[in-house]
Amino acid sequence: MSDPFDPVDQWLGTDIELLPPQPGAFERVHRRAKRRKTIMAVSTAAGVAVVIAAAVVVPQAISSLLPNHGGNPERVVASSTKTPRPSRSNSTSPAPRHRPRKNRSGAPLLAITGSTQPPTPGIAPSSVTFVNEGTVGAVIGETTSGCSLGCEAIAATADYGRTWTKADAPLATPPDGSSGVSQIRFLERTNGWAYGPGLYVTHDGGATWAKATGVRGRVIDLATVNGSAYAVVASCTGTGSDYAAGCTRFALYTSPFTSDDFQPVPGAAGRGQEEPGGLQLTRQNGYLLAGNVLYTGSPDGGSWQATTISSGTVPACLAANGRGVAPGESGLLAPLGASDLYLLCQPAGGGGGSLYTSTDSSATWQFVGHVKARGFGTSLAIAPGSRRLVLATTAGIYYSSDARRWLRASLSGKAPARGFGYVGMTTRNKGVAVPASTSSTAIYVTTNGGRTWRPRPIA
Amino acid sequence: MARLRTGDREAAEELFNACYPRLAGWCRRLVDDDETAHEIASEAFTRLLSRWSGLDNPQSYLYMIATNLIRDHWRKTSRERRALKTMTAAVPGEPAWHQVQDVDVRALIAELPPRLRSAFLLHYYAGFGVKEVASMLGRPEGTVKADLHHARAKLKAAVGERA
Repeated sequence: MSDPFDPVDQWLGTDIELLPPQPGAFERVHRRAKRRKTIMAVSTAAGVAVVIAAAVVVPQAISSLLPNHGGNPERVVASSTKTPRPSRSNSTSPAPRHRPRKNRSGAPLLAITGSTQPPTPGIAPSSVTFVNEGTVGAVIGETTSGCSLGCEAIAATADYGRTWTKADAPLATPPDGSSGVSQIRFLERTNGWAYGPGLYVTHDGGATWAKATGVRGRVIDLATVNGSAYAVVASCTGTGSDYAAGCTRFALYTSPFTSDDFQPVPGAAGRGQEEPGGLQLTRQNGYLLAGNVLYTGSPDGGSWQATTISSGTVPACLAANGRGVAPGESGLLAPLGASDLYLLCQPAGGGGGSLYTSTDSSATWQFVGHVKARGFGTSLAIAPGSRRLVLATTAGIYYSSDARRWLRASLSGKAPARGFGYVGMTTRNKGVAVPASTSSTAIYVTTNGGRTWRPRPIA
Repeated sequence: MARLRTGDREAAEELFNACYPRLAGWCRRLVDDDETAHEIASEAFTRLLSRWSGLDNPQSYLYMIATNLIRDHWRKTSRERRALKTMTAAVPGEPAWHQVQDVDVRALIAELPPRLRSAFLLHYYAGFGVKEVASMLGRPEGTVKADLHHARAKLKAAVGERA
């Protein structure tokens, strides 16, 4: 009988988390095996002795060899929300369009993973999205290749950024005030959204894009969960690629993934300086940090409401119980599971901040500790399956396993100028970060929970 | 099996799709690195497919190969592990990232004598029965049972010492 307090029993009793093969893995294995088989056959033939052996084999149905594995449905595991960058161009040149070719099965070859063409050269990624346990993903970014004034291009990967292929982009320019796109999300392989500040939808893996309807204003944030997309639409005055600057009003919209038509979410609208990254969804809860007000609601429908902090600690960046906040104080949210939530409040000058946690979906908060990190925090993430926090700042990436002690992550090669604009963890060990610099043409990935990161060029 | 022996690609792919996620997940639990886990699982399948025709129980073969590859990996990284231990020991209060059962037990298993370790991994972790493990390792069932008992006793004692 096992002892529930025995670590050996606990370890043995934990289910093995399946690790699906990377796309193309079987083909690689099969090719390698064939080569080795050939080498072995040649070696054998070259030998002086030929042994003919008769083997008696016991017929066995393959099904008896195969363990009964459950399905592994694709899910959204990470998507970026990177603060818009300074404009490099006010080009109105459309992104290149390609007519999708069809393969034998009828699926478009230029869908998110189906293309065989190399990616458009020089893409400076501004956003990344991953699905399917973090192996399949896409980046969107500006490039001057083929359009001297700059255009938006998408590249897809099926092996977590090791290799990239060209994918179709919506017929839109880079962000320019109230038009263009700069961000990307996919719910799974086929349904995706390109936005910021425009909004486009695809239902065929990016082969074709259509403009979404129903939204009036700039889409400055978007997240997907449970088969729905939620978009934050704001009235802003920012120009060029600073499309999300100077926002004064916002409203939350939603649409089922099957539709291109977005509808307002009751209760989640008002005046406030909403910023990209303020919308965070889990399967159970939705959170929208708009200025110093936190809205919560169900991602499955119904109205949202501004959080009322019933008692105890009030995070420094939340206005509550008649108390205001210091000018410039802002927050980064990172939800975990059904009701856990981390909130990093940081002053305008950056240099770390105060970390708070809530275990009841933001009704009450506890102060965790001060985060010491260089630069200004741009994105906070939690690794699924663990409580490891990862923080991207304008100076680098930091991680913590207990939310109290923070360590600086190690980067391979030269650290990108201006640090990182986004970090997300796709699994317990794997994560992706997008440099803030417009000159970087790579994303960064980790496979050890955020301790070390290496660049994966979009090439 | 007949299809497999004739080099039927479809059968091989079927086996790959069915067994790979669990094998790779098994490897990941032991090496705690997705890429290394993929490398080990892929190499195990490569070796399996390259000598397909002579195998009666591919699944056992896969796990045997993976066990050996993991052992090699542990051996290669033992120096790094020691360095890491020294480093973390020098920083009081540095929190353990992994849960105790993931780091400590894995490290303790790596330190088991090879004879006990193989039986332990194949039986308790890969889920093979004592009879299958005995067949895979070419040892009598009684010996395997004794090895498993000794392995558990050693692990519990080691955990007790570290507590």
